[in-house]
This record gives sequence, C-alpha cells and structure tokens, in this order.
Amino acid sequence: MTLSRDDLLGLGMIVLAAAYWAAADQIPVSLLSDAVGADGVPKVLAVALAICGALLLLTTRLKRQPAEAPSSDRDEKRAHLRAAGLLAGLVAYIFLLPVLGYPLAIALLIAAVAIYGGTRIRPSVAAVAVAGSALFWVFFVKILGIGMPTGIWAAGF
Amino acid sequence: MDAFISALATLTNGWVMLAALGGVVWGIFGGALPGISPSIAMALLLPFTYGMDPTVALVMLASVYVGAEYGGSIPAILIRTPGTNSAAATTIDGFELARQGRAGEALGISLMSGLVGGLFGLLVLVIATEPLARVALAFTPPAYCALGILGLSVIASLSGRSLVKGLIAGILGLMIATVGTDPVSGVSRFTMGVPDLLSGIRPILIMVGLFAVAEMLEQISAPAWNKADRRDTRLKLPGLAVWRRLWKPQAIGCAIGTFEGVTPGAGGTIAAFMAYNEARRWSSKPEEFGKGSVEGIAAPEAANNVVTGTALVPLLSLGIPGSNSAAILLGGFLIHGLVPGPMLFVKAPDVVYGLYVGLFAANILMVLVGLVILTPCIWLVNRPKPWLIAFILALVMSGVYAIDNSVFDLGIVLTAGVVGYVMRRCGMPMLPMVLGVVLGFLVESNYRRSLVLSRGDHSIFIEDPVSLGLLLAAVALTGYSVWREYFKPQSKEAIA
Repeated sequence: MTLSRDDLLGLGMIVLAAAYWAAADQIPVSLLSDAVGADGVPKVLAVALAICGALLLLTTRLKRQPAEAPSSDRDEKRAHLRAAGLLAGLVAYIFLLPVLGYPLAIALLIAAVAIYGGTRIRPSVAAVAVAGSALFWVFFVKILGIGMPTGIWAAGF
Repeated sequence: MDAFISALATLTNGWVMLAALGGVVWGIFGGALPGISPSIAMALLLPFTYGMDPTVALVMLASVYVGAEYGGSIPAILIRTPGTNSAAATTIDGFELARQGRAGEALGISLMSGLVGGLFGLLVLVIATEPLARVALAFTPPAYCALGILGLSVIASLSGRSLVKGLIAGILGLMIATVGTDPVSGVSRFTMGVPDLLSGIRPILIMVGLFAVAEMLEQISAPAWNKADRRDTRLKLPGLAVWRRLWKPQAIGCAIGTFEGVTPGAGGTIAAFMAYNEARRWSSKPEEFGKGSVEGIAAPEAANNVVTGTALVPLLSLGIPGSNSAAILLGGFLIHGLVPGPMLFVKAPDVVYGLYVGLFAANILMVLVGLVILTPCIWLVNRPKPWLIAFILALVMSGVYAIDNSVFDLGIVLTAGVVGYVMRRCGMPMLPMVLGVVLGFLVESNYRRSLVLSRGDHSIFIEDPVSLGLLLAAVALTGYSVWREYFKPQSKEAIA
C-alpha cells in the first residue's frame, strides 16, 4: 500500500504529538504552579494534535483521494534537492558569519546563491557581490549602527 | 480630540512622511516582483522597524501594504504575471489592453482605481474601528481569553482547502508559543537547556521564515518569469470620459472590498475576482470583458486596495489579524510593546490616529510615486531571478541578525523557513500557524489567570457576558466553517 502525502502528514503529527506529550510530562512542577500547571495546556495541545492527525488519516481514506506517491515525480524531487542545496548554503552562512565576519560572509552568500540560482561564473559576479556587501555594510553598520560580526578580521575594524 | 489633533500634526512629521514614502516605494517594488506578496514585502522590512518610533514603524509597514497592492498590477498588465495574488484578476483585461498597445492607459486606470479604493477603505477603517473597540473596553481576563479563542476560531475560515490541515497548523503555532518560561509558575518549558529559548520564540522570526525564506526555497527551482517590454509603458492617467465609465465598477469594487476586507480570511484576491464578476454583470458593455475592458481593471483594483484599509478593522478593534499582511502588521505592533485590540485606543491613541494619517499619506504618495516608478520597476522585474533571490536572502539574514545580534535567531528563521516549505508542499495554510504563535500566550495566560480568579471554576467563562458573547461567536464562526468544509465543498476558496 502506498502512503499518500496526507497519510504521512497525519502519521507525522501523531508521532509529534506523542513526543510533545512526553516532553510536557518532563516539565518540573513548581510550588508557584496553579491548578492547570505548566504542563496542562501543552498536554491538551498534544491530544488535539493527535486527534487532528488521526482525522487527517481518516478523511484521506473516506474521501478516497487518489493516492499520490510521495516524491515520485522527478521534477518535484529535483525541486526539493534545489531547495535543500540553498538551505545548506544558508546554514553554512550561519557557521561562517562569526568566523569570516559580516562583510566577507554576506558577499560569499550573495555570490554563492546567485551562482547556485544559475548565474554563470564570471568576474562580474564577484564585483556585484562585493558591491552588495559594501551596500549592506554601510546600511546596517554605518547607518543603523548595528554591531555586525567582524570575525577574524576584528583587529582591522 | 487631543490625539486626533496630534495625529494631524503627524502630517507635518518628516519621519512619518519619509516612512510612508519609503514604504510605498518598497511596496510597489515588492508587489511588482512575482512571488513577493505584500506580506513578504512587509516581513522583509519588519526587522528594521525595531529601533523606530512606533508610529513611524507602523506607517511604514502599512504603506508597504498599500504600495504592494498597486505594484502587483504592474507585471499583471505588462507581462501577464500577477505580482501579487490579488492582482490576478487584473491580468485578464490589463494584459489584453497591453497587447493592444494601451499598457500605459491600463496602468493609469489601475493606479487611480487603487487610489479610490485605498481612500474608501481608509474611511471605513476610521468610521468602523473605534466604535467596535469601545464595546470591547470592559474586558476582563476571561473576556481576553475568549477574544483569543475567537481569534483562533478564525483559523477555521483561513484553512483554505482543508480544515483539518488548518487546525494542525494552528496547533503547531500554539505549541511554538509554549516554548520559553511558563507565564504563571516561571518554570522553563521545551527549552532543551538552550538559554536563547528561555524568553520564547519571537513571532517575527516565525513570520519571516514562513513567508520570506520558504518563498525563496520555492523560487530557487521555479522557472524565470517573462521579461517586460519598455515600449508602450508610459503611464497615462484616465481622462474625464474614461472616469465616467469607471465610477460604477469602482463603486462595486469598494462595496465588495469592504465586506471581504472585514471578513477574516477572505482577503483581496477573493474581493478582486468577485468585483470583476459583478462589474461584468452590471456593465453596459459586458462583451468587452476579457478583451481589454477598462472596467475590468477598475473593479478588481479598487477592491483589492479597499482591503488594505478594511482588513485592519478586526486587527485594530479586536486584535484579530484576518490576513497575512494584517498578521505582519500585528507583529509590528507587538515589536513596539503595543497590543492591538480594545485597549489600544486608550493606551496609544496617537499611534492609531497616526496610522490613519499615515495611510492617507501613503495612498496619495502611491499616485505620485506610481507616476515615476514605472521605469525602475520594469528594470527590476527584468533582473535575473538568481540575483533577486541572492539579495533578498542577504537582506533577510542581515535584518534578522540585526534584531538581537543573535546568530541563534538566524537558525530559528531557517527552521521556520523549512517548516513553511514543507507546509506549502503539504497544502497547509501558514496563517493559522502565525495566529497560533501570536495568540498562544494571550489565550493561555488569561485562561489560567481566570481560573486563579475563580478558584478553578470554569463557569467564569460563561458568567462573564462579554466572554460568553465572544465564545458564542467563536462557536458560530467555527460551525460555519465546518459546514462549509463538509456540506458545501464547491464554495471553498483556497485562501492560503
């Protein structure tokens, strides 16, 4: 039996509800607590989520929607991979920001995303990225006065 | 009265006018870019409003909304690609006129109909909001809790194609709102030992992630949009003879936009299409519709601009955001420690009246800016999409870091972006999640405060008349949505 996307979503929500309930159960009881308790509302939410997950499973079956196989479409898989690649670039930016400092990290982000999006690698890419970085630096640091990370170049700023 | 006079003085406040101008320009550019909805354009600006005066910040955000609704019609007319969802109806006759070499005329009609709609929506906002808020002034903790529940019941009408998925999104939002320090006992919940989570997750981070980052993750694999032609795009304002034809469709757009705007979940898209249909029905030249009718542009453009004002009625009077853009504006209020709703007119009347004046200025500025911004807009629409995505993401990552100088916040935004991407792919609406995040604390803290007052007796919620009325309204709203979901499926609209 092939599970549709809604089936997977419903099952996922039931699992999430169980995990959330377990985490709510770990909340320490305070002497200042009221009758409901710090875990009261979260546990109600966990039950509600589990019910909704089950309802989703049920309605998918009752409506007899054609079972669409998850990720069977090649284009869709490609789209997910493209999104994952972009996400990886953004995660790399988060890790590189404190090390490389804002001007260099943001220039690399601009260039990397543009190239990843399909721009051909050529000197003008670097030029636009550096210009963009300078623009952001002036706006955030000089105009708004935000203390952006300077990274390993701290001594130079 | 003092607040009103001080609001008029806002007109002479250079910063407010600059904010309105900047917001309109940004909004028109954002709206002109397919994929950047008014709410995304607003979300991108949200982090920058932190250090601003509340009135300046809110006027800027609201002006983005006004500008984006006009901006969306530019690519709709020029390249048959609506910049915003609500401009989709404008594409039908707008692009036909452009094909006939009358793009400038179509843009002029769109601009002036937007002005008429925007000013009418503002009038409704000014007249309807304060009386509604005055009724709600006698609020107690049970009433506030019931108000939050009424706000959450809007989820049912915002759920688009699936009520269950909307509810799931809403519950997930409420779960996010429980992260942090418990409002009553002070113990930490779901923080996993991470100090950055002790103060909870800011709604703004969720909004930016859900709307902006998720959209960029989608756009990276979406095909490039068409290029705009610079020829025949000199903006031409309608003459007197054309105005005679426009008043009726504009009136229809205003009436429908008012009703749809104050109804949570309806929004500008539905208003625009309904206005288009009604304008055709009442037109003396219905055969022109679809072949380049000026009325076919005026009606939807007036309707979707009316909504920029009327969608704020439930937000300002009751604190209930009925659309994505209203939810972002709510985020703008919360950033400055202001809670929209009954007490807003007591605690910060100058901000409310300042917002009215700012909206008026934004509508006027929209026309002035609209006259000169067309060429830069065409230039922007014709930029390669990879560069646009790169600069938008650079802006998002810089702006989010600037909120609290926190790298951890960047991680939350990316996580919210991934959640938003998955939700889109699963056909889950995002606004219910935003509602859950925003209203979760209000509902839980007032629910528990009420029970402390009543010593654990739940009857306090039905003994308080305001609370009872709001709860009944919530039940009615939910009941209607359930009926619509299961007994009238053919009328459902995809709102998300």
